Amino acid sequence: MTQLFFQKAVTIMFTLTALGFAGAGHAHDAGATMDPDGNIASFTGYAQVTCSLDTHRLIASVQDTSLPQANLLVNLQMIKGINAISTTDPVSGDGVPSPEVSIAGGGGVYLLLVNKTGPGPRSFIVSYHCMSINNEHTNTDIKVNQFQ
Amino acid sequence: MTNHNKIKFVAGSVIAAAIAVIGQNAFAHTVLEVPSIVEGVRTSNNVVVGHGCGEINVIGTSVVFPDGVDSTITVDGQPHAGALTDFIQNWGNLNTKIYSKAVFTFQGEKTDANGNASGFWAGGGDSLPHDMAGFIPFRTSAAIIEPTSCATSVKFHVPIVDICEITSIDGFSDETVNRWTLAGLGTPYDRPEDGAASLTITRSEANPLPESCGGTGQVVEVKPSAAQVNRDMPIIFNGSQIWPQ
Repeated sequence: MTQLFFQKAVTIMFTLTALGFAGAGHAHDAGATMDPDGNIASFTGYAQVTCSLDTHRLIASVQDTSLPQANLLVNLQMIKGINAISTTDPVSGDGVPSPEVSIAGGGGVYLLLVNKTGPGPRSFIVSYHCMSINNEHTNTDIKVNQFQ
Repeated sequence: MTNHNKIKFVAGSVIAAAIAVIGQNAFAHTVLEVPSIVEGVRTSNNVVVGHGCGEINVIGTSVVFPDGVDSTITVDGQPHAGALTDFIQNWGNLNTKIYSKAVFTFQGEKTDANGNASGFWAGGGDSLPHDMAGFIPFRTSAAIIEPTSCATSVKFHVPIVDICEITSIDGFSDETVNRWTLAGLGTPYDRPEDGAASLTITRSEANPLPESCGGTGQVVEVKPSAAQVNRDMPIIFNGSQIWPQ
């Protein structure tokens, strides 16, 4: 009887609180706001993307979704082994991402860095996809090491 | 004669059933369905809840994977003072919940400040009958063993608590929880002898040992810290801790 009481109580609690739960974003798009207080020019996001072993390359782009601000742009860098590449969203808030970049580093762990050119909050979306030699999507996973 | 045989049959069936239940209780630890995975491979997995608390149904389960931040690492049984990245390149956020209401209605992940999952829970809704096993699905993403290391395998100890009644820590007993956890960590979730589930990542043939290893690989084991278990084992839902209470 005690168990049933607790079970019912927990069920009600779960039901009530579930109503306020926000949905997650699209797979392989990661978005957030850098430097929300607007005083950290060196704010850097650092993530590891793991591509399955059937991968040929990782492709990625970044989209600055904040309103334009002079001299404030968002950059993306990708590193795998001894290879690195970068891209910048040249126009903030226009709904168009940066040019896509890729490194053909095969399967394994790629490093992604996101930063900006000065102090000020920047909301952004990074799109990242591991791809096979036949342009098929391969297994793509992410771990965020730093966001500060 | 017929009645006598009927009685014998019924009695035998009851005894057989009792033995089966006793056997199940003695051996059916909660484990991972796929406990060993070669590196570089993503696998659909399940926490297999073995049974209830005696004859009490399971109403939830809480699972903690070592986060690799302050975890205890041993190499061939000896303490390792370095980082987990000495052996695994990308540990963290590799074991993520697959949404399912097949057993429990509610579920969530335990995450760090960067949103990386280091465990998950499921509970509420219908309970899991005490005499049945339940599959709680999750995904184990591809782990990558550091090519310069001598690790042939990295075994992660995964403490799990199956909950049969919501109580405070003081209310933990064989009737309220099944602790498939570690011994001697110094947490309220410990059990007398090690009984945690485990997940072992094995080195791929495509990632041969460096010559410097002399042809001999190392066996690495990783256990979560007491601080992590105390932080991640409780179930937090929408900002409120609902277990233990």
